[in-house]
Amino acid sequence: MNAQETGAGCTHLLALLGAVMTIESDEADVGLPAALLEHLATCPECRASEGRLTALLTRYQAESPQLPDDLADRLVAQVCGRFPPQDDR
Amino acid sequence: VYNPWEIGNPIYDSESALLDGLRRHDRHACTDLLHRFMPRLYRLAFQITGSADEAEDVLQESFIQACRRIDCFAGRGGLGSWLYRIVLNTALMRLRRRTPVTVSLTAVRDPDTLPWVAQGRDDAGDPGARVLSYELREVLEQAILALPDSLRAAVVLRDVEGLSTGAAAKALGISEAAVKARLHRARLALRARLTPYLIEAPMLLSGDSV
Repeated sequence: MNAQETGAGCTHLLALLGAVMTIESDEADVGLPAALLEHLATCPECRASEGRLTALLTRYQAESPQLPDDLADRLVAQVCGRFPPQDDR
Repeated sequence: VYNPWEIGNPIYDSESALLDGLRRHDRHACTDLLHRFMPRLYRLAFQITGSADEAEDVLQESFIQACRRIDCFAGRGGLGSWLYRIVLNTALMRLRRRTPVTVSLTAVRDPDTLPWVAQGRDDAGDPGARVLSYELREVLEQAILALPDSLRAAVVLRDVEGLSTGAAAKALGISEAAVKARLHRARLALRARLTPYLIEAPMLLSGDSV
């Protein structure tokens, strides 16, 4: 049974993830983008899942959130009631 | 004469007119600001905090802060970017005060606290609805919430809110290179967590079968 059949995905992805989780600053992250791009160029599975993640995020981005009931009314009352000059109630 | 909370539509015809109104402390300028930017900023606050209640508190605090500090806004980068930064900082500050919580991909949140849930439910019976399934949306949101704060902020601004790298860098107060590096790490972590779903994604994302 290969990694994809178990749902684990590319094993190199998991190894890269392990490296990512030890990174503590952006400055220490100089090698990762290059390593990722290099891997994506040679791994069809990761290239496909990267494309699907992009599609998933794009779809998610396109769907507007349904705001909680009366959120606008509550915020206007809370915010504008304290905005100088004070309202004239 | 209307009270601020009775104004339903934008009353300034441009952002610069609104900005002038805010600087003059016009009575309805803050209301207009809120109506204009609330939906996008609410989503940002929700994505960062993972809580509808906290997102509302963040918005309240942020809008009050924005209206009070409008004279500090230099006008560079647009009102929206400035507000994004205020909301982001406010949300991240709340997270830092909060006791760390481990978010599991298998954890089930109360569906009624999710702002998208009603839409997902309404469309669940419509096989042609071009929306994400409730399950996929839930798993994606949990995966984003499980990211470290700095990575979550980068992926929310770039991939969820659709800001450019430059705008995200300004909002976060870091360099564009740092935004790109964080985004690489965030997306790698997301892919690792979402692997089983991404393997099934052709079916889930087809739009016809959701």
